[in-house]
Amino acid sequence: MAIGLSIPRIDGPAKVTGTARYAADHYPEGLAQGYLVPATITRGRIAFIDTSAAEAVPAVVGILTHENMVSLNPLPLYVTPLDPMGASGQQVRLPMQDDRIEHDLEYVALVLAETYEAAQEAGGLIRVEYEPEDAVQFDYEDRAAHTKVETIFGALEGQYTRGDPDAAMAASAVRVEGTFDTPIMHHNPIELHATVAAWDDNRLDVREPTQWVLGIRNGLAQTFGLRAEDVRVRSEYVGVGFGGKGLLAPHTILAVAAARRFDRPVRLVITRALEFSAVGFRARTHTEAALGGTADGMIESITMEMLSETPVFQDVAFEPGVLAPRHMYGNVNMRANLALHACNVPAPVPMRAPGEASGMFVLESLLNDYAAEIGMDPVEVRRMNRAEVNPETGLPWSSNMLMECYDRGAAMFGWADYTPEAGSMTRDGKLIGWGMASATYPMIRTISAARVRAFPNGRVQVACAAHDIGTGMYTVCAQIAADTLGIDPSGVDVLLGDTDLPLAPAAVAAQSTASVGSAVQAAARNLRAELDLSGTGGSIGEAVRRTGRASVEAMAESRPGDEYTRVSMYAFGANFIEVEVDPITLWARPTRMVGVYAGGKVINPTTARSQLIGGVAFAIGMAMTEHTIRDPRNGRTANPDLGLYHMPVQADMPEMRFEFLEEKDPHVNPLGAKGLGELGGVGLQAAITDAMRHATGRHVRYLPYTPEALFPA
Amino acid sequence: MRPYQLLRPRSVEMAVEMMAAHLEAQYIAGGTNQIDMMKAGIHRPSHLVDIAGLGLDRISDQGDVIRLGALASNTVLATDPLVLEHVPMVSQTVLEGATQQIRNAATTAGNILQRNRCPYFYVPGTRCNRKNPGSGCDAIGGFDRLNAIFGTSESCIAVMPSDLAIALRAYDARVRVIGPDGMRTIPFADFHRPPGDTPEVETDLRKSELILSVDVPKAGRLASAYHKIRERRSYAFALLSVGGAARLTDGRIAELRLAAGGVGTVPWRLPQVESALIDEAPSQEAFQRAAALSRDGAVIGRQNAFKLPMLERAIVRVLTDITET
Repeated sequence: MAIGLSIPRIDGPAKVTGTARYAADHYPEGLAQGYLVPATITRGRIAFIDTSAAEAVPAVVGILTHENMVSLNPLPLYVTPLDPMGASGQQVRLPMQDDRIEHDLEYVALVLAETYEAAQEAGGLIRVEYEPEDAVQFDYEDRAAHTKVETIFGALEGQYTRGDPDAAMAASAVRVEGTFDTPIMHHNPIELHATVAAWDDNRLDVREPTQWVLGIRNGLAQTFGLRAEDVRVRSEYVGVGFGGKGLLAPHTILAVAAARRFDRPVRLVITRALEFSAVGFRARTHTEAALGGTADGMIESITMEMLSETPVFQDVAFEPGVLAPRHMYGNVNMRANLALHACNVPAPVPMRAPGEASGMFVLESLLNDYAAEIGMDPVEVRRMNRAEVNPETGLPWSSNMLMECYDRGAAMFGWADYTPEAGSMTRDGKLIGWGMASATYPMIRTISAARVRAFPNGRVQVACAAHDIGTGMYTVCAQIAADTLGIDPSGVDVLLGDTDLPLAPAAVAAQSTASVGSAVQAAARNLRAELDLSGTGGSIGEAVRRTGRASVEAMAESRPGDEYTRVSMYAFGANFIEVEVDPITLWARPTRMVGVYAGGKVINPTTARSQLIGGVAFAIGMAMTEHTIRDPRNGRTANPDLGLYHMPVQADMPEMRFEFLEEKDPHVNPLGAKGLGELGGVGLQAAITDAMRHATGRHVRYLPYTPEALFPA
Repeated sequence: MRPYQLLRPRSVEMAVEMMAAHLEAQYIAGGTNQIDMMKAGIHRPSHLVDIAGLGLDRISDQGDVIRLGALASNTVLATDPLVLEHVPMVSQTVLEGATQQIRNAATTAGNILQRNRCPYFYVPGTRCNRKNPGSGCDAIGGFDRLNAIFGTSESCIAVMPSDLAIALRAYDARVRVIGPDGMRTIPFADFHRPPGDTPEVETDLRKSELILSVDVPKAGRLASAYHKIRERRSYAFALLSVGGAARLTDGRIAELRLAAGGVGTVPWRLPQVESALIDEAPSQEAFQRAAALSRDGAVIGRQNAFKLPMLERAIVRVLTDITET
């Protein structure tokens, strides 16, 4: 049985020895190197652009600006990545179509040269004069400028009420309320966004690190008026995505346009600063929230009004924190509404646990406030308010081991020694604080196909247009195929990340194992049925040789059924964390955390654990260090580099202990697997701020925490 | 990046001559900051004079002082036995800076010459008097959380970002330099210049002058500590830092040296706090009373008022650590 084994990732050796070729490692013959020049205003128009000095730089091939850029077909306003055949469009505003600037660092020129250095030097010599205008900046007080979100992701309610939340709130014996802020965050993958584009007549070949090869293909086909089958997009390795490489971004369009205009293959790697331009980000949120309950721990009502930001040119809500709080607890009265403020910002995109990250920070902070207010153990408050069925839909859970997560997590952490009074715990001269919070993430499954092929030498090849963005997908596919065919995973080769391969969905929303894995399993079953294994002792090679063919293959397509209408499918978890606070400087540091998760069948505990470590790092970053800062006067990004955008480092990380509960779920998919990739980044933010409150008595309601946050007012 | 010529002098004198011969030449040592500046287009040298291999990388005992070679790597500074025995705060500050990889390449002189980290210095299209003298300062009234509250002017509020410089300021080090007119020694207190009306002039170094060493008076009998508060626990510049060294005699503070980082446009010595504690017995009350004097002369911006209470807390933290018996 290969499923459930902790085998190391099969693409590991290629990655650590440098033989894995990422998108920008491809250098087609005759290529020109690209360099993008960004705008230095947030809103306005280009009055004048002078490229003469840049063109005089030796080795410059050509310069693309709005003055010579090809006119593009419009992109659809965002098509859900949950439809693998949809086109991907990050922003409807296409690059360099006119002289307008609508966000900071918007691209104004693309220089092509024989070398990167020449392109960079020439880029610096382009002179642009702007007519700046006052930028619209995020303002939660300007209520007239806010618009209600009616639907989220094209399907879910943006305005949601059950019961009578206001009457129940007014009647509650205990009320806690507050405003909560979460920061703008940028994905900052270690592998910069890049495009290698080459034309062959009307056929286009693109290398791009992406979480969605089919979406990029369809988006490019639409933008450039091509047939989808004439566009090939490959992405064999991705140096992580976090949601920031899922949708077609302007740099890709520009690389493709420049390759056509100057008749050269183009290699364009954006700079780190431009990771803060138009490749997407997590939108900020500002939430007014309240919780009412009894004096003994029963929640009567929860209300939250969340405001987020969207570009002036389109409405997108990729940080919908109003969704997860609706199903967590049994409160009969609830309101969770989302609104947007249209600002001069680029288009946000999903970022790890999009919505759950901010929404669960708000909800879990409220619960912790409530527990502190009534002097109850926060774990006990959560147990008391358990949701027996999903209160949003009334459907029973397909499986739900949240209570068991609390039990096991509390035991592993030593929660029995918790003393609720603030400042009551110390160690080695430091203040110690403990905090906890729940975690949740929906189980999403979409249509996927896969092909499994067996060769006379016994090797098996799995192929589909899915993606390994560092998650372990190569390994998981090999395990599932090996398990079904009764062979060792080392006998399986896996091909991913190529639009020429069978259809697969975007690697987003922690759906890949459920969707792609189910297709691989089905295809492997079909192959097994195709092969006559009788008398071969289970030898796949022998069965293929008997056929006399070069290979035997089977396809399968796998899609969800009507389980959505019968059961409610979520993964759950519990976070416990300890922080240490210096009693003199009041600077806080997380020291240890325990995370216990129930996410169905775990295909590979090693890669699953790595996902959770990454999730915790994301939560630590959001809670304690990461923050994209915009100048309060003009909205320009003030810290577009890794020196001042503080992603957490090893020294910021607590000691981590994880456990997966054994959870059998017959409903979710044939594998019984739920998505784990996003779960680790959910809820922990609130546990951290609650631990700080426990240590010092001060509850931080804005993220990220800053080192002065715990100073007395 | 502007194409440049790399020059390899065979002696210190030759290096100075090469620099003097080219108007737009710059020295390159470890390159950890120089190359960043060139990539950002802020430095555009025509020539780089490579001063590696000229024998400037040694650390030696010169009797009263420990001589830190200009090109000794930060890693060597942090681990050298002479440093650890006689001037331990040098090691403590260096270890709180950058990362192991950067420390392996970065040098003593490069560390104290590193350019400021004000966001507006780096972001293209901003007004910055250090980047473009006379253009104005966008940091004032903007995102100034990281900026200075001491030694500022109407032209610049950028912090001097070196951790090492805090130890050198506290220890009253001296910088030995050689130039076209020969050698001279600069007291560390005079080495970095407050911005005034000419923020582009960051140090007392004259055209073509080359740092040979930094000489640090021995202070091995003083207990020392460096406390650095930052927005992540490693690889981040100080939001605020305090370095201190003290010696007790008969239960009273007989000698005290305190300097702060992240608050000044130059390494910020705290003489008023030091003198308030001389001959005092260590106590939290005495520390807090003295630390409150650190506010003298502060000019607060839009978002950095928190640095005043944070400075007091960091001072008390360091004083507590260096007077524990």
